[in-house]
Amino acid sequence: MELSELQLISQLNEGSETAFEKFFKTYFKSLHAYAFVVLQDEIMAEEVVQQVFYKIWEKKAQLRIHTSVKAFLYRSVHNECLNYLERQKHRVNHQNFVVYANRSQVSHEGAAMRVELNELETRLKRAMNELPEQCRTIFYMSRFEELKYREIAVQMGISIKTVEAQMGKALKVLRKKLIDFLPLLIWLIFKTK
Amino acid sequence: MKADNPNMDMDELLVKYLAGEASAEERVNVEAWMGTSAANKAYFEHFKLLWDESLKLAHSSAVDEDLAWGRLRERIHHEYLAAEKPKRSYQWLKVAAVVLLASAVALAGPYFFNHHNDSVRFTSAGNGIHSPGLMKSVTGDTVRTDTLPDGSEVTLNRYSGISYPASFSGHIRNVQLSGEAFFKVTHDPRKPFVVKVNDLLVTVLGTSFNIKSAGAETEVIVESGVVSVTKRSKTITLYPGEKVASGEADTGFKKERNNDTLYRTYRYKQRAYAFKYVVKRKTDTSFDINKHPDLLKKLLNDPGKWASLLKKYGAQNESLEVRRAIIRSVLDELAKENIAPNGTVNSFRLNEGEFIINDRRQPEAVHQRFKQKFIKEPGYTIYLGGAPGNGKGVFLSRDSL
Repeated sequence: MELSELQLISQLNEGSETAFEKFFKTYFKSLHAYAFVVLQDEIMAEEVVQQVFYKIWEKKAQLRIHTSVKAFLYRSVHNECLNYLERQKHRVNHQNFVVYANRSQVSHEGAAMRVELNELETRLKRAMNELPEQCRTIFYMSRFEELKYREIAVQMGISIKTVEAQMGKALKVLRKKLIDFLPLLIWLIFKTK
Repeated sequence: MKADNPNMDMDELLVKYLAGEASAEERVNVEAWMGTSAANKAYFEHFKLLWDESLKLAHSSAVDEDLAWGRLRERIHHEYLAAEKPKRSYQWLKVAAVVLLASAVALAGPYFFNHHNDSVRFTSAGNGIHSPGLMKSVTGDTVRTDTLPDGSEVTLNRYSGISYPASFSGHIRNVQLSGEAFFKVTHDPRKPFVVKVNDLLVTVLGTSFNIKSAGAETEVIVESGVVSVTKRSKTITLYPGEKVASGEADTGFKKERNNDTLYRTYRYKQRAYAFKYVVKRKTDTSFDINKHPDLLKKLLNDPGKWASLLKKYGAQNESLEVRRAIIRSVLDELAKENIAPNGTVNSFRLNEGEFIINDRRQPEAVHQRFKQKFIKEPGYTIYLGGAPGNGKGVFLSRDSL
């Protein structure tokens, strides 16, 4: 972990809101984009990220990060997304429904900013979410933050060789999971060529 | 060579190739490997397809981190939300924020809307990939009240302009303003009401507040509630009795107590504009609008007329403090327009027919601008120095300034 990150966390431990603000603003956009990939919904993505930071603030005095800050935040956001999706599944009680309905009424972006995915994208999203954590984080950082291998290695505190291996693993696993779905598409591609 | 060991390293190499991380030699190897069989080629195409498809899931966050931070901070500071708890006062909460944005350069309205570069980011922050039609409302010689898509009301003063999306479809209710306007903002804690004025973003966080801005100079004064003001990357939270003044430069953007400044406050109270005009200087004499019921009544009927009415009532009988305030506002304007720097004006006379500074007649364009702004009825004269004249107007000797 970089010195500046250690300082930031120690300031957070002491309850500095300024440090927390800096912390939030540094990571908000990439985490929001990350949550969006999982949820495909802008509002919920922000809520999830806010929730992660809210929890960090609540526990700021005890906050200890042993891995890289980035890896920690990605993991937290990922878990929070899964929590949210889990709750969505069990969302049967009327009260929740009303809250949600009211919400949608107040703001129309619920519909506007939710992206309809085609079948391959839906499957791919699911498969990506199921990748092992380090593999998934590295793949996201490469693909969605468009970071170079070198930058990922620095941020994650790992070697470039590990990044290469995890990236290879990611595509390999994705292909394997989606293999039943891919040949048809490949065939279509060849046909149009 | 990695390519010699396809089962182990080919996956990594293919991804490096796709990610643009492969060296020239590695690229040659990948292409050679693809050429050796249709199966290899198909394998690569699978990777490429997944690689390309994955990007479709990506999303570049259009949410402004400053605003997101404002929402988080609001959540952390529970006390801001505590006001929502009493259900009975629902009607009160519907009208939760009152905003006044007053610009001294009222004529700036029509060309305000040309600041496209400035506004695109602001607008897109709220609307993401969608960009609904932008509504514009510009007033000429009359005051007009518009209702925004969320039910908020905006009373635009003369020669003012406002623009806002046809629907507030993003995370924020974003409005741009030039000139002077009086906002009655509908409460919605999930969707902050954000006014862009000059280079500031003024965000409603709490329950009620007032704002004043003038040309490139902007002043935000909080009477009650909590307001966040963002300039470039810096955000300031204002509490009651605090203000922030901002000019074009980066310096001086910090909050201070609002106790020694001429300020005016508009209030919204039970469907009528309760209007308060306060002038306070160190001498602690003050002009209290509430002691002028006839003036108050006129102002309540037409808040846009406050300037001319105050001048009319202010005239010669007006207190020294009010006369000072009016003279100083002319001097400030002269300094701001670089016509005469602070401290260089020994005397001036401004009326319908002429504008003379230090015995020098000003160009007609300057005269017209100042006439438009400060002289709102015939026969009205504002002058500093020289002998007191007769008739309507404001006079002040140099020593009294």
